[in-house]
Amino acid sequence: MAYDIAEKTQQFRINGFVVFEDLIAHETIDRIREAWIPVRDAGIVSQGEKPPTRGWGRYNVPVPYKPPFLDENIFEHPSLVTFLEEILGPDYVWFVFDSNIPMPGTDYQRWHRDGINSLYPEITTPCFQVGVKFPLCDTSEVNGSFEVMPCTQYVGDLPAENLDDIFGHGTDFRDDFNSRRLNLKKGSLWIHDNRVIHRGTPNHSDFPRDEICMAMSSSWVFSRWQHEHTDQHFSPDLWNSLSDHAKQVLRWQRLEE
Amino acid sequence: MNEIHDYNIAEKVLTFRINGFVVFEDLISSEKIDRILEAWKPIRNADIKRQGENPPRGWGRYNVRVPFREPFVDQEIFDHPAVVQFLEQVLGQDYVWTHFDSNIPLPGTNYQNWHRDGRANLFPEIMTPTPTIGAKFPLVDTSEQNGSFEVLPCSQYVTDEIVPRKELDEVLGKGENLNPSYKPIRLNLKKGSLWMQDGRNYHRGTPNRSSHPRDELCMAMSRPFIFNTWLHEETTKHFPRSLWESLSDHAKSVLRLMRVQD
Repeated sequence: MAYDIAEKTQQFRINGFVVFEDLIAHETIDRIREAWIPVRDAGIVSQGEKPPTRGWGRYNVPVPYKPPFLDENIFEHPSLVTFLEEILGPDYVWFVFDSNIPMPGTDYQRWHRDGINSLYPEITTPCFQVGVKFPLCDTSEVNGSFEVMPCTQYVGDLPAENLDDIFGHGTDFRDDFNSRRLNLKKGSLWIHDNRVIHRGTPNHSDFPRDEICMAMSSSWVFSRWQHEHTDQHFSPDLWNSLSDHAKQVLRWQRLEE
Repeated sequence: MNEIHDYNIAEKVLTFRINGFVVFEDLISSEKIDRILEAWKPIRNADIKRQGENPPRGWGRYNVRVPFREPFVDQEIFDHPAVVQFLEQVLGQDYVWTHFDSNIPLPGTNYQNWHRDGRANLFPEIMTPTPTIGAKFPLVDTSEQNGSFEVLPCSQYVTDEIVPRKELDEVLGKGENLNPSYKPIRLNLKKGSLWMQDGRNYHRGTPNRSSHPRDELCMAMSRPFIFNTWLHEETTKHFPRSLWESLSDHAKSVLRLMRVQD
């Protein structure tokens, strides 16, 4: 699949997100999902019924940095590399690997942004961190597809700790604002500026709506996760099998002795 | 913490924002500096020996890490009310101490190349307010004899795209052959002074023609979003528990990224 990267970059810079359809083969996604189910289920058991921060039924489970989750055909896809170099600079780095899992029966999330909102008070900058995400199933208004408010990435700090106070809670969305549901076909990869305002939506289906997230960053941004999780987790055999560029992207990971 | 001091912080902040550096004279007592120098000498000498004759900065110029312990970590210095007020205004209230190291030109060192520290612009062709400050204090008077710093005022907002770093000596002049279009100044400091430097400011070390090392300690203070290689790579629990317990809440906040011993 050939992508027009200039167009994708422009869309991203305007909307705060962009979709690369058909970037991952269905067979790859199915293989990842098979391997993922026991990892996800174990993570959910360890977090219990009320997972931290996201509320009942919404899980964020760390993804192991190993195959089939870590796949150079995905994170080193030439279109993705060209895009990320353009947006984050050629020395961008992969810093967190996690997931978004609304279980059946989950309700709306609060409107929110991920990570650091603004570097300096009252100064809006270009993008410095993105979530590179791919669902492991089709996503829809039945199973809790993401909802985003395009172009909000450049809106600075807002005068509310709970953004629902501004935009409305759940289905009471204030019609002064405009949001979009991101219904994605399996095999799509989407990238969003961490600052764009978004939320999860109710999962009315009978299965978890799994999505894997590779968080990529400009190299000068501090990562609290990296600072606090200092275990040497990355397999040296896997490291040695990687391309030079893949090693560069993964250079913050700590190799097992 | 004593909230009373004689510094005009608004003026210091303005001077810093224009020049890219500012000096707080007489912030540290001479006795305290002497005590720090005495404790420092064996640490400095041991690491110079370990680094050998050709350290990364060239012959005779050493950067030695300073241990996060007493007498180097001193609340009367890094948590001095004037320092805190200044850093809060320039870096934001949640600034953090990320690194502790030193600049040591030994006797006989020559000019350094013109350079800047760390990343200059976070985004291509865009300069922002400073993300990191070096809060530095020499352990001796510094002068044109012993290799005081030379800085080009106001250069902190020039992007790397305007002057690629490797061309800085060519543009500003190498060694004594300064380009007369530019007017750097020597920063001759009295012992007890603490100066704040925007690392993006063009600067260089100068020849030390004295008979003693010109030691200076540097506390790197940052906005919390700045990545720090040292913090990422050095994951040992190095900060003494007893020192940590003795700190004020604000000092703990400034040092919150340090890993405290069990």
